[in-house]
Amino acid sequence: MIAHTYMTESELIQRCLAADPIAQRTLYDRYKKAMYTLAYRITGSFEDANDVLQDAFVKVFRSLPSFRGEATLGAWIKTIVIRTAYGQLRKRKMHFDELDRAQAHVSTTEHNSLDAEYIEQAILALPEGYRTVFVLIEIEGYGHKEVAQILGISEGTSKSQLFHAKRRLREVLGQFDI
Amino acid sequence: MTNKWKDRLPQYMPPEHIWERIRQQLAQSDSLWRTQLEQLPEYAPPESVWRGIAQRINSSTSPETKRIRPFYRGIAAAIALWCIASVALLWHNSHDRLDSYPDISWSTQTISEDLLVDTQALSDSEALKLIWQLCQDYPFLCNTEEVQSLKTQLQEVAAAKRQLSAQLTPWETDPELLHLLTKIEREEAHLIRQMVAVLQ
Amino acid sequence: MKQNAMRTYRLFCIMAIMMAIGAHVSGQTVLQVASRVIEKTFPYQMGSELNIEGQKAEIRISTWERDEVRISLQIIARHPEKHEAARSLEAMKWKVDQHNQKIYFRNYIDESMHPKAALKAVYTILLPADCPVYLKNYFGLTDVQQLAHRLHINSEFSKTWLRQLKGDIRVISSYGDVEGDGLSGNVFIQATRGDITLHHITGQLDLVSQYGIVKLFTSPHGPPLSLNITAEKSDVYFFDAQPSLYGYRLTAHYGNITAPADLRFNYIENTRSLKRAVFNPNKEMGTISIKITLGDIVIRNP
Repeated sequence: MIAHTYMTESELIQRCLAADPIAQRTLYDRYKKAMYTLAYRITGSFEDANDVLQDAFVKVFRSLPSFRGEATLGAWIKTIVIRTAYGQLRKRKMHFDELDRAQAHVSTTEHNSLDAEYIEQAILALPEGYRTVFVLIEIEGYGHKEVAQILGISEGTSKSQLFHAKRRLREVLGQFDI
Repeated sequence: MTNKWKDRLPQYMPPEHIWERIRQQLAQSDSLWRTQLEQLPEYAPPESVWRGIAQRINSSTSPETKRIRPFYRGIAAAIALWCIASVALLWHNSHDRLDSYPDISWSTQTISEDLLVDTQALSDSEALKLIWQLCQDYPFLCNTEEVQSLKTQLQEVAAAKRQLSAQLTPWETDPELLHLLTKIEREEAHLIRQMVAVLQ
Repeated sequence: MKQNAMRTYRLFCIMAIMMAIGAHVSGQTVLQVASRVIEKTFPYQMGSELNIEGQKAEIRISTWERDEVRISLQIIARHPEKHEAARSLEAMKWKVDQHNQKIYFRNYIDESMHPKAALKAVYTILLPADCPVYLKNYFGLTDVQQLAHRLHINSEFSKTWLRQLKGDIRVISSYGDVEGDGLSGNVFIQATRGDITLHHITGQLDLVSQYGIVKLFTSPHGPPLSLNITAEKSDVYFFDAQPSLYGYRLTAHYGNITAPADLRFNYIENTRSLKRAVFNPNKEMGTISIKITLGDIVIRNP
């Protein structure tokens, strides 16, 4: 029986570069939940999140030789996932105006308390642009400058999208200061 | 207009603890909000995602391919090129073999060529281009309310025609869309006639 | 003799070839039609709702007694070449998702694949009559019948058919005609650059029309009607066997009001630019309020 010892980040990278399947799987397992959740929150659908996660991790393994360690491995992977998810949204070319349906996704009569599930639904009901910026700043902790760089938008756009997202959430969630 | 009463009456400063209370309340709300955000659920991807990843990365990073020496790599490339050319030629000669689309059902439909959509003819008509040019060269002609209203309508209808045309290929057989296109073209023609009558 | 026979035979062959060529150039194109079907079934319970978004879609919805929502999506590509039809078929994407009991189904064309074939998606949907439906369709056709709770439609460049519907009905359409039969309940229809034609109307109807023709036919012996129409650059036709049984408030800016002789309107204003007329009997069949700008109001027997 082979004992699986914990691999440090640099060991993981080295072994992935050598195409070690165990190391590849370990890297994926280490980050899959966080990245999948992030992809889901940006795209709004589990089906899209499956595609994004797959595309993003293929990019991760193929680009690993060019990883220079300026950021942590997790941060680097996250950037790839965000760009892939955002690219998926833009590729979808949502002609349809989600704004008029966004409110109706969250039934205000069903919830009296601000539980996590209700907040989750409210976030998922946001229009895609607002949701992406909100998730990156309020949940993932990025700054506007970083968000602007990752998504290829201006800092001003990032700030205004966050403003609109919070205003929309305030309307839906009511009593909390957001 | 100054408010004479307001200027005369005294003003009062709030005690400092009021601001402290506001700051604490904001911090409390913020921390409650942050706590709630931290409690948002996490999701695990299905196993099929990893299978897809493994398949894609292993097909391009097989250790054996890395050991092929450059000379043999050249020969392999030449053979591969010859194979591709042969396959392409065979495929071109018998393009009914569509094995990469196994779950497609096939049928045929015969249509008269008269009914094919002439996508070239769907671009802006010469009359429309002439009107835009006229308004550009002689803005005073197009400055009246009536012309502006017609111009706005024409722009809307022309834009709608372009939008619809972008969805159509020469092989479009949907009667509703073709009927709609005809209707929009008729509307455009009607507006052009009205515009010409006003500009004359 | 043998030579004559050979000559005749050669002539026959030449004529046969020419006829074959002639048939080919007579103007017929054979399209290869590639199609694929996707079917999904969802359990239905209280709180379920269906959200559909279609592009180049023909969406047909009707009801059944089962507690299930069944969606069958056929995607079709037409092109003279089989290979291109098959390739283009891949450009018609579809997505399905479910959040709690809310079902989301959509199709769209991936333009980056540059499909050359004519693409279409045909939805056949069966669901319980009480299931709310929220629908968007672009460049297609929508045909909904027998829903009894809520139907909201946003439609562009699509014809909309509404049949035997009850409850909360809301349709916003541009560049597409709306036709209905047997609508009752709370109906709101807004059509821009499209006509509205409704038969057997009853209940509460609010209509907004721009650049279209509105034709309304009442239901004989039906419940009272409350009709509000706001129209601009549109003509409104109201057909009823006994129009004098309704109350009317009509306003026409730069338009005309035409009515049967027995409908003696009281004209509050009657100038070329503004006509305002009321007619107020016991209103046993309901009330009709029409405001129109740059269009005509015509009240007539059917």
